[in-house]
Amino acid sequence: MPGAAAVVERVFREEYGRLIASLVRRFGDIDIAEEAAGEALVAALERWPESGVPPNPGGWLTVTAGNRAIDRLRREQLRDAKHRAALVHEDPAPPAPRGPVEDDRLRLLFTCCHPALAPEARIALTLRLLGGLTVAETAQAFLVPETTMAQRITRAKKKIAAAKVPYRVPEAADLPERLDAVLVVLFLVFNEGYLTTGDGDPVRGDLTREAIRLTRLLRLLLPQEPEVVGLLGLLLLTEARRGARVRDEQLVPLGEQDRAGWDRALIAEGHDLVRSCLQVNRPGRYQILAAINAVHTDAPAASETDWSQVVALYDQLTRFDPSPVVALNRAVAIAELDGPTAALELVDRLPLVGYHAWHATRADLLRRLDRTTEALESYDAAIAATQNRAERAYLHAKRDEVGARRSPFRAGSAGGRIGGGRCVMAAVRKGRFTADTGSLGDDVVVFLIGMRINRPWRVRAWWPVFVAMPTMLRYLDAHPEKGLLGYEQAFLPAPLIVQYWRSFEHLARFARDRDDPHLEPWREFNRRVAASGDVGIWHETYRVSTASIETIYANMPPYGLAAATDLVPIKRGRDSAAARIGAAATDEPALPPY
Amino acid sequence: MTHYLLSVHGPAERNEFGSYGSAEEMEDAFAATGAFNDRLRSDGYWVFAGGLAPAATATVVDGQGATPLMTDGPYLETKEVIGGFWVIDAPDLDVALKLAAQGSKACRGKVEVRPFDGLA
Repeated sequence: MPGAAAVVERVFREEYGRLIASLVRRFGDIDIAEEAAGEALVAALERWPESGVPPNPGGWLTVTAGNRAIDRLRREQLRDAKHRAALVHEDPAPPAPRGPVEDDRLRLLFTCCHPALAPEARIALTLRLLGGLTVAETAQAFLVPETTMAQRITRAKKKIAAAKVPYRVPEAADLPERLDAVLVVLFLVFNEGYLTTGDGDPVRGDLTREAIRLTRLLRLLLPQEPEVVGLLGLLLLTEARRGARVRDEQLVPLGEQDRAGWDRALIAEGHDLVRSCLQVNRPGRYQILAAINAVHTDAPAASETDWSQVVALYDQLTRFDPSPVVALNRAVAIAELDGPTAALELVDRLPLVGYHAWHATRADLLRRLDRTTEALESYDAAIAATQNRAERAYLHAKRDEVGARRSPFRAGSAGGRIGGGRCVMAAVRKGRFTADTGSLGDDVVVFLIGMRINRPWRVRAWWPVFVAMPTMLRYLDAHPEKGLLGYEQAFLPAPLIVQYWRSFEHLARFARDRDDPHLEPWREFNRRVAASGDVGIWHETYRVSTASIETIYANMPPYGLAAATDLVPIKRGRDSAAARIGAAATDEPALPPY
Repeated sequence: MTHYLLSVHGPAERNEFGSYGSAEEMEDAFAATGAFNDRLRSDGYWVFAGGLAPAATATVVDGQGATPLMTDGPYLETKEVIGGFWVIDAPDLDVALKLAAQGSKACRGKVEVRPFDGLA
């Protein structure tokens, strides 16, 4: 059976949440549930390729995992008190209904979103246990190292077990106060499915469908709560467009979508929900977002969108959520109403320099204003800031379209040499090269600076830190006399910039000069962020004698120190690192140079 | 059922009204705490509870060496210390958190909820 492993993986992924939730309910322990699910996956990988996929693959996985869990518990029951306790707990029958809605996944959702867990752990656990994302994918979604995410998830699971966070839907009286955390997580799960963070499937319908399914259940629990209705409306009106959203593996923006491909049934249902919210008249964030999406889905063609209505709704939303991301979306609507110049003015003021959608929006506005060079730079920045394949494909296509309007080579890039004409599509130089450190003085200063987002949840605390650096780099780029020679930057697992400075004095002067854009963000950091611990910052400075540097760039475009100076071919007798750095008198490379 | 320690944290410095602002406030808190204790007993959650003498009366003993080493004062010199605690037996964390909220309101202090790993 061709591609059987892929089928197993897809089924497993789609069934993971249901499988884990039912195992947790039966055995009362997340670890046991995850182990058993893993064993069921192995069994499926062994059997399905030969026997074919069973007619009810989810049921097969559930039965197999349940049997594996029981086998395991029997084997280990004399050894381990925890497992003994779990065996006592083993309960194959669904519990007697306590509330209006009984569903294993809804139960587990409330456990994952329990207020006794840290907010960042809630969404991570939900994506892991109900969304079936791997720890690596979850880490990627939060821009933290995989080990950090693994620890975060393990710690939360330990607390759930030790402190006995219950697996159940809270009682009616406690529901309203538990609701917000759940709504936030459901919206984030949906968003992760609608535009995945990593470079796997660009859109994951299993996640969007699961978020919708859980929101529907939540609405059965709380039929009177307008924000639940609002969230459901928002998700349905967004989901309705999912089919038209990717074409030829490329993201298609709202304005360019084939509206015949939209799901009319979902739209009708979503519009009904928005109308019922309006009648209740207790507006909230999700209801307004739903209303905005109702305006979009109401227009027979993009050109017939009632943009003044959209802007008015964003104005209202700003009162509930005055975040720069909302302001960015409002600016997109302003562009349609008042033109790209007005919108760009708003967009440029937003502190979102690390956010792919900010760059993509700027790129589009600049393109419409025929500011081609800047548009190309913004497309590059947007591409660099997203890993989603479909979004990258779309941005690349747009970028090429804009680039075709002018000469193929141009200046500007995310790293490279300061003040000089930087080459974006910097051509790969085939062969072995080294940096021309001879063009430097006796010393060069290497400065590493980075940050760590300790509480990704508290976006407003770390954004200013995140965005201060690009502002500084742009300034330094325009002022080569300040002494920054070049830089490279990386965003994963945590933002890191390597800078090459002409001298320590240049670096120190820039750091302290009242007129340079460093002192103010520094003061601001101390004043607002340092005490909270939401974000960490660090730097390391190396004053290096140029004689004790060796570099090699094989089949690379100008990069790092070579981009800051020049890329020169490696000289004869300088093939080994030891020879280049002056540690050996003879040149004896470990392998013959190519 | 799981046992939980509900520990009350408050200022290390106490005045003539304990950690309260006035005699009246102190009496109100004592009365409310007494009523809360009665409820814990009648609802079957009660295991043990007590208020502690000031942290300054504590002695730290390190018996790991040949002769025990005594140090006057609490293990950690902090501005906030444990002033008292309950040990309760509850079916799950939700129940424990609810009881902790009631206890906190009664005694007018912040309460930390921590599960026991086991009881001897």
